[in-house]
Amino acid sequence: METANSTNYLNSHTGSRWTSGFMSWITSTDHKRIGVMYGLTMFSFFFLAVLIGFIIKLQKFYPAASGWEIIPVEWYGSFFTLHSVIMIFLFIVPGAPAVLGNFFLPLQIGAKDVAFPRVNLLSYWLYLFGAIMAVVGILLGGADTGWTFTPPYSVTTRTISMFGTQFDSVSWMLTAAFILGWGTILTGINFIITIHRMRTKGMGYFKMPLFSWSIYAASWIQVLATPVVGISLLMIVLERMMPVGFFDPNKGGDPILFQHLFWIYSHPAVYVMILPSMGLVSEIIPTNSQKPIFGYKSIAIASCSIAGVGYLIWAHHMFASGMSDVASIIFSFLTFFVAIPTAIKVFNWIATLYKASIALTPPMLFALGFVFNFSIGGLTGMFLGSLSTDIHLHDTDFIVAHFHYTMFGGAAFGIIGGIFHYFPKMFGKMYSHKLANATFGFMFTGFNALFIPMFILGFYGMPRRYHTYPDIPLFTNLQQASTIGSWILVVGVILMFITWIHGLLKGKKSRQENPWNSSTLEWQTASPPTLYNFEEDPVVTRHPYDYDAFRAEVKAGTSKGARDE
Amino acid sequence: MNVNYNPASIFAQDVDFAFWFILWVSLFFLVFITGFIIFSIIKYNRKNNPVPSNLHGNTALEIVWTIIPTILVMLFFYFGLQGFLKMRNVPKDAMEIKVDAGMWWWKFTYPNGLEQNTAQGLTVPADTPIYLPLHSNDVIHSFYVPAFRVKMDVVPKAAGAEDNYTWFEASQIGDFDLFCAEYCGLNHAQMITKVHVLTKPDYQAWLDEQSAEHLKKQAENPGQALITSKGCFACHSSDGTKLIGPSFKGLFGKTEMVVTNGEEHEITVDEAYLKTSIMEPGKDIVKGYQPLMPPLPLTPEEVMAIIVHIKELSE
Repeated sequence: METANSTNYLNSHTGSRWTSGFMSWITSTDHKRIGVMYGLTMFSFFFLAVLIGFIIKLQKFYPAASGWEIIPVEWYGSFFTLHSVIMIFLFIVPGAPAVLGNFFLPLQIGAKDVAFPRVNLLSYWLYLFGAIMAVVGILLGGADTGWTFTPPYSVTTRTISMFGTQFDSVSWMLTAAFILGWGTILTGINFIITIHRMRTKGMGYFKMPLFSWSIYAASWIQVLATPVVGISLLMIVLERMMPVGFFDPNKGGDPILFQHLFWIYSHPAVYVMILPSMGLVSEIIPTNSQKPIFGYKSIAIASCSIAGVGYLIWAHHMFASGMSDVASIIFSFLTFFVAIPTAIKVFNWIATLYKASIALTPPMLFALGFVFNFSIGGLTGMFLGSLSTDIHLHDTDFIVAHFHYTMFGGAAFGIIGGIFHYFPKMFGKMYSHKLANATFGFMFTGFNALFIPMFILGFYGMPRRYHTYPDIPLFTNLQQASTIGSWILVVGVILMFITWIHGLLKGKKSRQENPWNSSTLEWQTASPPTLYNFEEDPVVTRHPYDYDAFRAEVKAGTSKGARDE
Repeated sequence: MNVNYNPASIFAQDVDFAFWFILWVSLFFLVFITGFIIFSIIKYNRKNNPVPSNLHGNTALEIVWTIIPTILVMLFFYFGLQGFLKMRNVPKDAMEIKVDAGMWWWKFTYPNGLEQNTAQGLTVPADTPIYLPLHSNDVIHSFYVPAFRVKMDVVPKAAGAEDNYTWFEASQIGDFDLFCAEYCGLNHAQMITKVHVLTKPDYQAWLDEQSAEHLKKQAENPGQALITSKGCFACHSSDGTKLIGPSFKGLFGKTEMVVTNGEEHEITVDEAYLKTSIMEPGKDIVKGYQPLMPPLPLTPEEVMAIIVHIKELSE
């Protein structure tokens, strides 16, 4: 026990001569340390973006006629740009793969580390550098293009920041996104090769846990789609610096071309954001049900088909852009084919609950909250895939609510649930379940109160990205309900941080390997895991979710289960 | 009260039918999913059911829940397509009103040359198909009338490329909000006007009156007519109020501090300065304002007419 303790990853690491302190983290090539660093950085940015979102909602509390102005109109553009760029590029795209993928992918497949530990560290550095550059660039330059960078506006806009400083903020932000893209691509390559080459003995593809499967599918999208957006963003930077004219109609260019290039990446990218969270939910539900996941193979295949079909449907973001009607019809038709594997997953998750033995632990609450929120997110996507309804709902609050249901209620709930699930493994401590349950209560209530009114607003025609809105009583009432929801949600987010910090500092120490009695491989390591993860290379003989076999192993003493403490 | 979002065009029926159809199907599934989760939490919690089954799956069931969603989504596609085809096929006898959009104004040009600006709005007859070519003078805007269920981006196009278009046929008399739905900068949320739907006789009377007045104004004061039709008043007031740009009132002959290429210097507003400011708006920026004004395609004669009117406003 003493040796495992002294060599756990929190006390020692690989990669550099620094043995302790800040430098030993920032120079470490240990996948577990890198995962933790990503987590810290990402959630710091997340908190900043939540606060900005909170202020944006406050701005909508009263209509235009009231003269209510929390954010001056000159800054509004950079406020929603900051919110969306941080949430998308710094939080949800790196998301679950960067934090939990880094930490648990090697553990789940029985590897010592990822395939290229140094490249992994480089990814983190690129991420950190790009993230700081993006945030500083927008804060001090006031970029106001949103996260979609749509030209010609993104080419012509010149802004002054809220601090009065002025420089080419949009080019800064785009260059930062380009650098972030490099980090993403390298992580993707690293994970794909890790999965191809480093599975332990007996770990066939269809013996891999589903989180690893989802990381695998998401990594392919990262590798294949990110270069497209990288180049497109550089094209905008070029246009801003010199008269190239790719997207400038006065020089014979076409602004719609950019939208195609942008969505060729950014549509598949939404599956980079959601797939790993689906993977986490596929871990949490069987663990807390103590039974095999329903339809393991079809979930694994569904992940890959979502990733595949996800490439072919980008132009459903452009039904109102004036592209050819035939293209609109084809893209609408194809879009519905991504709904099918998604529906299959949802049915498989709830079928897992049938005849289960359910423990409503905090991660389970988040996983079930995910299923509910994501169902709403997925079903409201049907309105946007269908042509005539999309024409009406496009660029309104309906679409804002829809993607927050998939990205926050879905992806972010999955990541947060995943962190609650893996917290005892990562830190060898257990957080307070009371605080965690309260976190879920506030977040779930606040989230739904915030975004359900926005669906209705959108249906009645409230356009998105409006600094204020016309004085229509229905608009005002719904906006106020939504703003009050945002207050509850912010309380939930603050409680979440309190729960984690309290857990780290005061949480009950627990060296037990497998507190949730989970059947997958990562729970067989020490808590926190030792430097090279497993004392000996593990050998896999059974299906990852075969709970009957797992219980027999625990009885025989060959696997570690939950122990009473 | 102005209820601007109730269905008011011939598209609304198709769009709303597809919307409510998808909504009811979605609600059914959401209730089913949520109900099943709650049922399981109660029936199969660890206390009530300490020994779980070891069920791995059921192929028949999985085939069923692959086929049912496939059929449903194909229905969603079909109903969406029906409404869309109607929106994209303009009747041959439709009346054409040209729509121009810029930061942050709308302009509507009628077949007889009559122009209406953001403050005046778009006036149309009921039960008449209206064809709207959409032209952008700067960045992408979007023409959106929620009550008509109509939306189309107004995209700047290269020379020779066709402009986007949309059409509608209003079925209700009244005033309806017209929004810009694509983020276009600072005053995006003010790029709002109204569609006024009149009965056919009312519309004809309105048109005759407006056209006569329009011709009169243009003859009397071409500068004012231009400033109105180009939407200058969206940012420059004529009564001294500070908007996004400096007011026209008392402007001519005034001493201003301007910033040129980052350097401040003092100028007196004269014809040459006004000319530069209209033709190259980004060159000299009056201190305290942002470089936001777009260059406008104006002939030298039109620029002179505008300057003459600014002089009048300064007297």
